[in-house]
Amino acid sequence: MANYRFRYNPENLKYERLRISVWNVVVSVLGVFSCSVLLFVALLFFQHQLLLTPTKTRLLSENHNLRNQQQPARAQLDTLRQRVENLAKKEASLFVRLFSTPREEAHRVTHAQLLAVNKNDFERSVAELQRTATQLRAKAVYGNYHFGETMRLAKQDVGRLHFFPTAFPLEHVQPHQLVSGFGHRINPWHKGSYQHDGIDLAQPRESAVVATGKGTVSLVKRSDLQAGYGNHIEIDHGNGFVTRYAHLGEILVRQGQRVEQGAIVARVGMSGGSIAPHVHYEVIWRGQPIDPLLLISEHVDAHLLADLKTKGKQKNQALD
Amino acid sequence: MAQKVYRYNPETCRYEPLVVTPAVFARRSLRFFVVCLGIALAGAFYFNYKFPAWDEHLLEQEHQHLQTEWAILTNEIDDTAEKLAQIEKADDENYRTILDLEPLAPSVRQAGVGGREPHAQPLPTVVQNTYERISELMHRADIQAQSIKQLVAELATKEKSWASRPAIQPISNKELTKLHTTYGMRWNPGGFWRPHKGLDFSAPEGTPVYATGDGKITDAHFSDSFGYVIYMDHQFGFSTRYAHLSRFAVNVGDVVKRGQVIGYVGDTGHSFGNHLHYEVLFRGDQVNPINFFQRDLSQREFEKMIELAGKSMTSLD
Repeated sequence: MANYRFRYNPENLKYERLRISVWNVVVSVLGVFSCSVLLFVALLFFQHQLLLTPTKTRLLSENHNLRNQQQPARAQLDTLRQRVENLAKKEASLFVRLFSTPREEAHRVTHAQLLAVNKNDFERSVAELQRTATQLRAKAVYGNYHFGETMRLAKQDVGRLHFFPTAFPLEHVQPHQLVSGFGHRINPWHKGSYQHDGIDLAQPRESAVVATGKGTVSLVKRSDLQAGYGNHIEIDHGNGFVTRYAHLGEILVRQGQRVEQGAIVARVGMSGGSIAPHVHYEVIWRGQPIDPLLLISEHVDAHLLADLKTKGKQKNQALD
Repeated sequence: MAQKVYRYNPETCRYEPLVVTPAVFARRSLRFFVVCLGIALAGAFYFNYKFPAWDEHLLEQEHQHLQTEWAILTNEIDDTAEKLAQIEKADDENYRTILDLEPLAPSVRQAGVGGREPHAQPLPTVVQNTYERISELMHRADIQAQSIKQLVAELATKEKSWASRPAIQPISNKELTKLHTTYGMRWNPGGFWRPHKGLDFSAPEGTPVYATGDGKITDAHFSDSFGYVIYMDHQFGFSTRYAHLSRFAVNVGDVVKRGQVIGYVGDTGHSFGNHLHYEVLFRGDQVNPINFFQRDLSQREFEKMIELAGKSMTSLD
């Protein structure tokens, strides 16, 4: 009773008791609540900013550095990127000057392209690829079968395989060594087109040149003249196969000598009409030069062979 | 509108206006505040209980986010490094092999890498690594740039040597009536054996004669034996001579390009019939010119021609 509150009503000149309405309760509860929320937030803020544990100190400073160093690092990277880009341009122009043809860019998918890929398109191409793969596999099986049939290799004939010039004329096979392939190429001296009967394999002087198959050295010719094949040898492999290695430096075999597949027969040089140290390798089958890449199969896997074949098809400048 | 609030005082039996003194107000405010604070504290404790070390987590999250950004940066550096490595590889394995230069030693490529001035604060490892890698790559790019400069200079020399080599026929195959691929000792029309140190190309008078490589006309005069003759210097040890011309198309001192017309076929000097006598000299000695225009033939045809050139034939001069 003592704590009731009253209000004076001037209309009926009475003191009326003030009732606590729902509204009043809501207002006070809301007041308390909002004030508490404010304080709660303030407390958390205080904890977040001012209560520093060692972990937090470390993280704070690291984050600070990570954030602030990003800009300068990126700026440096951009400079670097630009320089490398310039280098790549210069290198490409060098390539064009050396080989008279722009480099074929490898088909590599960039991240940006990958992100832009449409899922449906992707699935469709995967399905297509799978179908092609199946077809090719079937074809390969068929081809293998026929190949086997055609070869009709009796067990005792396996030894004869070594007589085929199937190896690479250098000790270590790398696609970048193949500078110029078989067919019409640009002549390095007068830049006209001419028939290039072999493949050119660039390699530093003094590297080993190996026999690509078992056979007999049928020709050893040395020439100081800065034209033609220069120092060159021919190896007769039988079965109509003759291989020729030209522009050699030192020749390590005699005429009539028998050589095994992979035996070192000479050193790389620059004799004859050559603009770079390299081996000019020819395969002559029944008197006609054929593309040596068709025969190479020793010590190469499918990827390497594919690389070599793409490089061999480029109509660029030869080295002699 | 503030209404006055009264309270009934039973002692005086009156309604007295309720006055809020500052003390009362302060007390009430304090009470309100304490209640709020209590609730807030309870909430904060509950929050901390429910999400322990949430503030560290927040920082950790930001840290992760930043680390990801740096990882992207590192990735980009990797890409650039790979690109640079490809250029270096091509430089070492392709260009240097082909231009007959030694590959740059790894020690040269890595020379002076490292040695960045220490930062005032210790930087996070990833930042430090990034800076180190960028500066290393920067350095390698510099070396590579110098290397490419060297290669370009070397290539320029080589290109000059390739272009100046007497590598084509001095007379077009279409104009040629007969090629005397004779080089060495052979029977002279005068009736005696003598060394013949050049090649004879029979062609009608006035057929253009082409410079077989880039070079300079060192001499062009009339001599009793050679008639109107042009001497060309191709540098790199090579020079050529074109004799029995009917007239000149160039002057002494002219710098000519391969394929440029320098004169016309004639029958001047000690000659029997319209033809061009062509000589190639390497370091002062005549060499068989057939070797130097093999490029119009395939290698095999060329080897055959060399064989033919060994056989004797009558010379035209």
